[in-house]
Amino acid sequence: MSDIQKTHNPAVFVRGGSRLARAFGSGGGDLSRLFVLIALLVSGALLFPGFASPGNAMVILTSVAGVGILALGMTMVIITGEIDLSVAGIAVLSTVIGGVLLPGGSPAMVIGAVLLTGLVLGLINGILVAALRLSSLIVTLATMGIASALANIISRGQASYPNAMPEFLWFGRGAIAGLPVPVALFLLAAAVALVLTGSASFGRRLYATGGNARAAELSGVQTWKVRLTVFALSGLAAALVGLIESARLGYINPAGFVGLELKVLAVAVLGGAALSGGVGSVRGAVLATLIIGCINNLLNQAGVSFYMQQVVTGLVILAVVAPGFSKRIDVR
Amino acid sequence: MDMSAPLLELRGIGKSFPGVRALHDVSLDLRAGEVHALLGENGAGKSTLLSCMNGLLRPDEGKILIAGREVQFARPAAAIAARLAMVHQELVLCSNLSVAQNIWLGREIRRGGGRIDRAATRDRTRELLAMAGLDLDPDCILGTLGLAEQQIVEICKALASDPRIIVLDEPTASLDDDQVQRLLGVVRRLRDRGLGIIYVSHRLNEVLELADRMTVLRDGRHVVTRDLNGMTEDGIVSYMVGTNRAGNGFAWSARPIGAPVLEVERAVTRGRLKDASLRVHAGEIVGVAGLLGCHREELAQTIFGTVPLQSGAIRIDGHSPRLTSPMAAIRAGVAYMPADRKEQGLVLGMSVGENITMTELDRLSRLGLIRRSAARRMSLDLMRRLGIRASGPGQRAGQLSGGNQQKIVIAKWMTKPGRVVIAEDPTRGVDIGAKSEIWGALRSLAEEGRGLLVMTTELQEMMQVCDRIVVMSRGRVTGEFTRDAFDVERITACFFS
Repeated sequence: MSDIQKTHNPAVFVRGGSRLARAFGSGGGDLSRLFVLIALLVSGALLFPGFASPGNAMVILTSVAGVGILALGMTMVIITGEIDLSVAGIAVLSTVIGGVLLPGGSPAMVIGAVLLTGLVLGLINGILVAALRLSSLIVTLATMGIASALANIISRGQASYPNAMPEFLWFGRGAIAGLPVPVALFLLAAAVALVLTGSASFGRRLYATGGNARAAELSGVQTWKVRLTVFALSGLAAALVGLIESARLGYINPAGFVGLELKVLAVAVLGGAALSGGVGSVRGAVLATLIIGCINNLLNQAGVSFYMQQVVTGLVILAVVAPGFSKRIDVR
Repeated sequence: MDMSAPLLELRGIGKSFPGVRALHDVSLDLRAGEVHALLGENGAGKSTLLSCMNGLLRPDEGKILIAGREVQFARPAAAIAARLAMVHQELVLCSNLSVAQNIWLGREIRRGGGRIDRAATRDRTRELLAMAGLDLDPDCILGTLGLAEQQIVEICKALASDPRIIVLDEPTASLDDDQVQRLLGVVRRLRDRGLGIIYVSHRLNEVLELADRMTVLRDGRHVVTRDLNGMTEDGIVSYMVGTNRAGNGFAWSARPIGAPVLEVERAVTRGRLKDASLRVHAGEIVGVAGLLGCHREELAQTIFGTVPLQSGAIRIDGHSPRLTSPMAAIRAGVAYMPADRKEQGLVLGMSVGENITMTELDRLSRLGLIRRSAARRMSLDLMRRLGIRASGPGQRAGQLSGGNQQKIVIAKWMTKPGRVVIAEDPTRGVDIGAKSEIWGALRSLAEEGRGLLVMTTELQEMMQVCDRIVVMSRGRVTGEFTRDAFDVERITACFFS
């Protein structure tokens, strides 16, 4: 018998979703995401003369940079089989704490406080999930509510304005090597995440934790460290995005970022992350971010209402993701 | 119905998958009142043939006849309707439901208004259980039963559809010798009632004991269908492997025995381990024998740091490390190959190479980044040493056959420098060729001066490969035998003391 013949398990071939979904792998596959993105770019260029310009490209990238950074963190959280609903809450609370320090605080202090708050809140999520093995859905649902409530208590519901601090504003409006800072930070975060999940031993531990935590532990992987790390990263990303978006808007809003976690979740899922854990990729998350950015931009240019845009986004998720995640796969 | 026709007849079944010819011209006939063993190595095509029989797969070529009439099953439900029931190797029961609820799941006995008829359900369940010789309360929650009982409940579930043909796919794979006897008893009883039974197993001794005829597959082809009268295990093996490839993995030869590497003294854990003492020396393979409730797996877990020791001591290489986690145990030099490859041994969604190197990530990384070429080299080397048949290190572990998956579980620990290796049922559900390769690999670990503690379900196999056997019963060590004193009766006597 040839080697190939020996290794193929017939069960793998049984009832595998649609032929298309199989060809592209589970979760729709990055190839299908790339096709969708190219199709969007081509149709955009054909339909709207201004679409295929460097200026519009920057508009698209800047508009989704924040969601993209969070989707990277969320993807890693989801790969471990967990979920982080608290990103919007963390973004609000950490920026509000920065806002409180604005009068009289040095730029390093304000920005440091924002990022530190995000990191600490992420660590709190991580400790509750990793050390106490509480459900991340419940933990982050709770911290989400607590963080946004604390933000309102601390700020007494008042917005604050970082206009007098150019270092703060730089995160939303500055430029690095010709790139808007949000875009540069998104690309940087994507590069770091790519190395972390792809080439680093951390990546192996990440996928193993989500794929089969028991087997990973019995192989010497300390899964609690992996879980703690992803929540810390997600918290840090939330604070960074809070900083970026507040700087872009020019004010720190204790009632801001409503529903952001669901947008991020949608991008992560569109990117191929499976809520059952073990599956997902940084590449997919980046492609999904760009797809969402293009769709929103195109619909804006076409003058489609905000609500209609959400309908379209939902349909895209169903079309791209659902076939690959069909539970009919691998029925034995 | 044509009574002279066989209950089930397969004629010239062929099935291909993209790039793979899984079955080629396979024929088989099953008579009423016979146990027909279906044999072959892992990957010989048994599973594919079973899937064709019960409608999970549609054969590309050939015919399936039931009682002389040609049938085509679109799905398993159609096979059940034609009175062919299959019992899968892995239990597909809900442990949170009662025995009766499990047996009637999906075809509950109803009375008026769609309500479940509890009394009738209970009575019919008792009948089925009696048929299988199992005295059980139908309302008992499945999860509270032992593995053998659960397996028998699974058979009762198949019986509930009133089949004339039952296909049993490795029903004894995870049972110990005592439980196997019970299950064989059930199968005989069903045969005597005139059912036709197709029986898949890797345990040839039990096949010889039970079956009337056998059909052997090799490389997806039909090798032989014949009577088992006068057949021997060696004879069956030569049909299965073709040439004389039976291998020498089981051969025992004296090895130099060194200082103790593992010393367990009066180990007690909360609940299960009552009083366990044993020693393993460098270069030694020590078997731990016992029935299912002997809690030898608790001993393994204690040494590997997942169950805390309440009193007693564990010394590794003369030191007394604090065994508080698998990580601590690994640092102290313990390797642990768990029995349940799917739940504990492997991440099925990850590749062969990623699984093999999972225990060696630190050694293979520089500044947190994996050295890909080194990792690949290690994977390829171990795949070759253990004879893991995969398209390459990049193939998904979940796509491999059971025997090859089991070899990955072993391969993961082959390069770790630790002195103590615990192998829980390293050859479970694995064919004879793979068994030989696995024992060969484990013996090479002993030859390198490691001490091995193996917990195999089959006593015969343990007696072939071990230097010493320690017997456990209800959490205590009740006997110890050196190789020259190996004797089945004396060893099994300790199971019950």
